[in-house]
Amino acid sequence: MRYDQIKEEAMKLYPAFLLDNIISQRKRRWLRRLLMAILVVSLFATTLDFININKVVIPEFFITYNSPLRAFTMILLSLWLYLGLLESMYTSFYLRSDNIDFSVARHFIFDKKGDILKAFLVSPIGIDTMRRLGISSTQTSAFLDRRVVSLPKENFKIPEDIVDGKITLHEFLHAITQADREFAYFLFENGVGEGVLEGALEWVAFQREVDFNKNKWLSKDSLIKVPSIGRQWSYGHAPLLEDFAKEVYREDVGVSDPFLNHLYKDDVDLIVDSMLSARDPHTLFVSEDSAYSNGVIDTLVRGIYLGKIHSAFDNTRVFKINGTLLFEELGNAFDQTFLNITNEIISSGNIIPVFEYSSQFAELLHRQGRDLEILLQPFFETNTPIILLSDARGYHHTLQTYSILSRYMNVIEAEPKTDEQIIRRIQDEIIKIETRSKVFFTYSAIETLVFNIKKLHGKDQITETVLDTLYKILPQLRSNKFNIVTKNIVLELVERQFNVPQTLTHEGEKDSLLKLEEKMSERVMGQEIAISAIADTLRRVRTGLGELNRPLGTFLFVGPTGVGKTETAKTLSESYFGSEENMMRMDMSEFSGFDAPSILLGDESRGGRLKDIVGDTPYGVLLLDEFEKANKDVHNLFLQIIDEGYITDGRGNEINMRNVIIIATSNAGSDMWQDGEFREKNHEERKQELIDSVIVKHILSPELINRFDHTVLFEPLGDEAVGLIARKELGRLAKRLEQQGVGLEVNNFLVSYLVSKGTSVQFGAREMQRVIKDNIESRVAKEILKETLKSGNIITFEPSESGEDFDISISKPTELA
Amino acid sequence: MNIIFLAAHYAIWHYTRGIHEVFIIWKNIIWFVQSFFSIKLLFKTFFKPWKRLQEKHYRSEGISEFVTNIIINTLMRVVGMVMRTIVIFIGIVCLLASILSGFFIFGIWFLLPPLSLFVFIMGIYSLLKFFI
Repeated sequence: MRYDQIKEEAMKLYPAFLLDNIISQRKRRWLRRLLMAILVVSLFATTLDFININKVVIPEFFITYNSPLRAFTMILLSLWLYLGLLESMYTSFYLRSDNIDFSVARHFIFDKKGDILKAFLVSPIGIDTMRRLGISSTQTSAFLDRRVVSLPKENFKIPEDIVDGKITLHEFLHAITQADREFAYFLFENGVGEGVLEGALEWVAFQREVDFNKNKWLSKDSLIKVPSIGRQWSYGHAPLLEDFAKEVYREDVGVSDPFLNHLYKDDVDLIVDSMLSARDPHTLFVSEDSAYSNGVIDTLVRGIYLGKIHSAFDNTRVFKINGTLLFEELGNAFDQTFLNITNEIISSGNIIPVFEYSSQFAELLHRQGRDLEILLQPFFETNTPIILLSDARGYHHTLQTYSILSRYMNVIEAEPKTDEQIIRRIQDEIIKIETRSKVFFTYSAIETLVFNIKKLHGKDQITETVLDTLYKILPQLRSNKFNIVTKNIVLELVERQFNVPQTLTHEGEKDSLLKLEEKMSERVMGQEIAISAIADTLRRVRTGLGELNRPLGTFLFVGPTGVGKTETAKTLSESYFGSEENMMRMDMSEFSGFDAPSILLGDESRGGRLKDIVGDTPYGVLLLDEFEKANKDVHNLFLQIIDEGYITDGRGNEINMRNVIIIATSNAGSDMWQDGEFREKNHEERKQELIDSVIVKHILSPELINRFDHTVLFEPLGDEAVGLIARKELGRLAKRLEQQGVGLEVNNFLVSYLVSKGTSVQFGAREMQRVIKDNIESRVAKEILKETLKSGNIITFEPSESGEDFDISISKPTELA
Repeated sequence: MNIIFLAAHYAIWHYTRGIHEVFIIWKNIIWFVQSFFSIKLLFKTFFKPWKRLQEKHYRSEGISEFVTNIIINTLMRVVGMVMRTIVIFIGIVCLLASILSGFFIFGIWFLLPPLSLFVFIMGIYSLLKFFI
């Protein structure tokens, strides 16, 4: 559709906009209230005045009675009436615009100069949208001023095949950004992508819709909220249930957001079908997210009240029962009370109980020597519909093992939710927060919040965790410091709340990824090829957007002992996560036996090692030493971890590994370095040959090797690198000694001594620290004890003339100077 | 000028789509009244006992127990019927009133624009008369 066609469509709503043009909606509302107030007062005054004069003779009021007060009241009354009538015309046009959204039409009608973008940006909805995008009005007007060309009418097109044939804000704005590259670039400059723009716009549009609907008090949606008489007379009374459970009332079920209704619809329909089945109308609803389950139940209840669900449920009442709380509250009286409540529900004939957190309830009952199946038996026998809610873990781990339950319940497993759906749900909550306190959230702040919490926390209970976090950071937001909550503020608070290093959140990560090589080369000597391979891989993996369901990175380090594999892992931890402390280490040679998987993951009686190690530090570097020595089953478990980013332990808890960099090391094939021919080849050839031999010898399977993001070959260290390492180690020793007031001269002799003593083909540079400790440090200690080496002295190691390893000389700084 | 245009547009709306809107509201009100008094449901459950309060009959019990149960159960049904009759009666009265009021509302709707204008002019007129 072209500009002119759309304008024609918009003109059908012209009268409403004409009204808006003469006097805006806000001013009208304000004026109506003012008129109403004055009218009430003047009517009252007129009546008093009339009674005072005439002593109640009604006809006289209209005929003979006259006063300026009456005239004034009459004028007010008619003005007030006209305003009301005009408003109902406005509402009528607003609701019955068939081919074009009211809020889109307005831009075409107010656009006098053919500059549709400007018309949008200065309209209330445009201003609100820009605010949600975090773009200030000064930025917007600066953009409008510096524009080179305004969007020509001819370029503006909306495709014919739009959904429902109705032009919505969504299509409108999409058409603008498509046609006006300057505007698109302006948004891009301000960090607004297409998804963000759409999200913000839809949010603003929905909010206006809700505000508008508040005026329609004679609509069916509003009338439905008034409870009716006599509905419950034919059904049983349930006083105990009312005491111990929470009825879902019509007032509780919130605004009817078309998007959310749509979101819940499929699952609501499935539940209704299940409840309508003649045999076993019992439903077990499984969702990873209890906030989602609650949304589904609320929508079900709203449907019941609106009469949109099957008429069999017209007078149904829904009660939420939290079994665990009930048990704790009742103690010894639990069994009898639960039985009574059950009887009340069954005999009432119109109550559907919803058991929240039912797997936890089942587990609790089990621990207390009771059985959920037996408690629910009366419902099964009488065909009384019940709904159980459970998370996926509890369902698979607990409820699925109950045979009677499995026979009677129709199981509905909800699909995992998309980010968009979660964001939409959070927006509802944000609106409530915004009306209560003086904060304003930009759309990207919410997006960032959801995105990062999903990343840090995993997908279980995501909506609930986001809401939790939101309320935890709210006091900080309220503390007047931030009026507009932007992406960066949210990032900062989330980092603080979850105590994570900045690297894990968007912005921080970029920076550290760019500087990774630089930072790592400072510590790891002689492995430039390996380091750049790691940095390249991390950059590639981490910028591959959206891959949230895997660990941050996975590497296989192959190379002989003592060439810096562990040091590299530590360095990676320090430069990526801010501290060496974030490195977790597991010696995989401990996992070679048949019981290795259960040691790793635990079972009913004991916790697993993996949970012990990763559980407390959900982000960091996980170093798997001597990976090849682990059992094949353990290898397969790690296959799953690398693929999915999580694993379920022996107790059914999910271990989140998505914020972990996994490094498996292996010195398999080290003996190949003895071969002169092998050493002649170049790095890539050697790497390939080594991997081939590892596969041929069945040390690691090709699937496993291929699953790692990168296999990094560590070469034996050259003399120069070893020299650097020796200098660095000696530098450290010198620093330690300095703290005791003793100086150590690091000279070439000492370095070459250390290189010759501290390295070997077999162990690389691993021996170096031991040599320092055994030979050098102990010698220094001896001299200190003998008091030949005193505070302020400097010790120097020199070549020996008597066949010893070395001689020492002690000097005072003054002598040196 | 705009105001004159608006008045013309308004007049057209008032006597075309406006009438349709009033009709919808009237329908909503009628629907609301019948739903508020649950008339259909009360008719359907007219003979049901009050809030399902019932004494169960057991064979082992004696004849006197049996008679007591019958009396109590009948009483509960009677209570239910009485209560329902009252509500149904009030409900029907209200329903009739709301249906009839529809005609009244339509009448008012037709007359409202000229009537308001008349009131406005009368107001101005008497104000002027009073001061001049």
